[in-house]
Amino acid sequence: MKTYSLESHLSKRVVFLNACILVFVALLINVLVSIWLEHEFDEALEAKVNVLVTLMKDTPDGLDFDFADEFMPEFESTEQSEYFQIWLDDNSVFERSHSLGDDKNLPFQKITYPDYLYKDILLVDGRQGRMIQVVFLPQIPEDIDRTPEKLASQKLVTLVLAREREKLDLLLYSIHIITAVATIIILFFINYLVKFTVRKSLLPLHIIKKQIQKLDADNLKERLVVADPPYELQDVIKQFNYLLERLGTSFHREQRFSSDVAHELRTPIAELRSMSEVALKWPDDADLAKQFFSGVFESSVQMELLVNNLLALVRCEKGNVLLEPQTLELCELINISWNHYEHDAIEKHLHFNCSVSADVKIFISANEFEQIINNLISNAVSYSVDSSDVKFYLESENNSSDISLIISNIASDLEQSDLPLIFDRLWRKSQSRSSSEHSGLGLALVKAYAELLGLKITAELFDDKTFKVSIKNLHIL
Amino acid sequence: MKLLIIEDSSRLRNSLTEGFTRLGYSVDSSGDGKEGLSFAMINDYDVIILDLMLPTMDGISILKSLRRAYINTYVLILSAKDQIEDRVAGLNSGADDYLIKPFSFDELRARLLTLTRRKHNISTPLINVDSLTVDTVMRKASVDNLMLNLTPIEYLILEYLALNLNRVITYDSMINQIYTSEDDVSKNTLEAHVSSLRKKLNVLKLSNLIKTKRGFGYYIERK
Repeated sequence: MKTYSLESHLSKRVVFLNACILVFVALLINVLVSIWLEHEFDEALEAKVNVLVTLMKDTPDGLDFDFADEFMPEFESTEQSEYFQIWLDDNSVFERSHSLGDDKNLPFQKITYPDYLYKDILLVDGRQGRMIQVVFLPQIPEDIDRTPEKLASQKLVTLVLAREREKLDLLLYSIHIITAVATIIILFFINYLVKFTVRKSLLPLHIIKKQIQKLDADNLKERLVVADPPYELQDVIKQFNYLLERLGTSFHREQRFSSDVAHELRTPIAELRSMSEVALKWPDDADLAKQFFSGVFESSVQMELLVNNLLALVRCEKGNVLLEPQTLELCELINISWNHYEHDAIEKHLHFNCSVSADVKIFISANEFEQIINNLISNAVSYSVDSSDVKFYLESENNSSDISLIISNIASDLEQSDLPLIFDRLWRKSQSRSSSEHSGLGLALVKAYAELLGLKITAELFDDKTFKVSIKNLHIL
Repeated sequence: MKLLIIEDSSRLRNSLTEGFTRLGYSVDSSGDGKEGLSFAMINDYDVIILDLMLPTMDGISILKSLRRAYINTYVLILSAKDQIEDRVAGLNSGADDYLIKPFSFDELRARLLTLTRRKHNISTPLINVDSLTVDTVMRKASVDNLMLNLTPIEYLILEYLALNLNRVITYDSMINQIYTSEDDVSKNTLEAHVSSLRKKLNVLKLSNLIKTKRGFGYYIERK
């Protein structure tokens, strides 16, 4: 899978966007400055041409151009000369500046009155220049009558003024260079600043990354710790730590379960091995072999019980059980289950007390529900105090319509602190693992079957050591 | 050698008791923690084989109670708990060895013999006294390579005296060591066994090997 660095990706994106904006702004400034300078240049040209226009008079003696070289020396023939030329209506040259000499002309073209024409040209001295062409009616002096005939007879005059523009071009070129250099310098600065800022902003992520890299199965108790985390990461850290806690608990539970399974199997295997080895040392002793045969059988049954219960538990937890709900008579089912354990119950002088009415029917998958009842009765019979009661009855919680099936017995060994563990796999009150009848999976199976059937199982222990298991959410018909 | 087995699995306890008894050990056993502790407090055992997870009282508590009472009998823990911390906890509580279930019967026996040798400060399984050799592994005795045909009780008497050279073993101590707690044995019975043993040694010209300290007990003297 192609991987990329968030820091690098973010930096590149931000730098690219900033560069685009910067280049756009630089280009815009350049264009605007160029337009403004050219506009200023043209306005200066226009101002000067207007001055020349005012010098042109329409007198009764004809057109008079009142121009004096001493006041406008730039039109003399020098290295920095400017040029003008005046044409009459019949395209004949009326006047030209001294800088043009006697035979050189400025370009002009027909334009309509009173338009202006600006144009870049090559000056007669070879320099790059710019010209303004204007068509106008010469002024009539104030002391002359402005009769309609006079005004109607006025002829248009064309004036072209040209001057060099190389200084303007140099200025514009300098501005382009300065803008480009400034843009590049600013880009480098932005690049550094963006990377620095992104790195600093992503520092909590780096801290989290390092802490996560150190996590493994041996230190799941560690938690992510970031001083003053940003808002966006607060929930991430909180959720991650919560998941770590759950993972640690599950891992510890699985580890303990594996260890417990191994432990549960070690004792019967040790029994089998010890009996076999001792019997093999005296192979001719038939009595010894016979004595150990029954032991081997009992150990095998114990291991079979453990393995069967483990497999049933796995099937339940994976949901690999085909449920076949049917109508069952609850009281009859309890009585049948009790009969399996009646022999042991009689030995302990236990009293069976089922107050569930014979007409109570439930709709449930029979096999799985029988397993629940069988396991609960088996536990009750095994761990009840001698000569005590094992009761079955229905109870409605807080006078509601939800009816629970209760199984209660007296369990003198249990403590309140045992209740959270009581449905754990392979949990047993006694440390001893000598019992071949119980594998410590009975109540875990009860819980697993209940969850499979959509039932809720709770356990309570009262001060008088009455242990009460409630089966809730029963579908009573 | 006298053993106490405290193990809640009746099948394992019975098979070990049967095996070690047939090998000539004197074995007491219990499946209950508190009962096992009282056995260990009252009797003098060479080694106690102790399970950890027991009804009424766990193995570590039994071990600590023994050590608090200054009973230094060698204890071998026999447990299904295989984690390092379990082994460390057991050994730190005063156990002398730790064996994880399932185990080999022969390995258990070898470890018991090692603990016995350590108790009697001997480095090999063979005990030599003059021309007599006692093989504590094979549980047989010979004089100048001539095998003695001994009963289990006679062997136990000879081994116990050989392990405690130059020490007078009292009658009570000898009875306690040789017989189980359930056996009802008198001094006369012991004397009968010792007499029989002496006759067998006498055949091989070791009539004076086992000496009697009148009013006290028996001993073997190494010159």
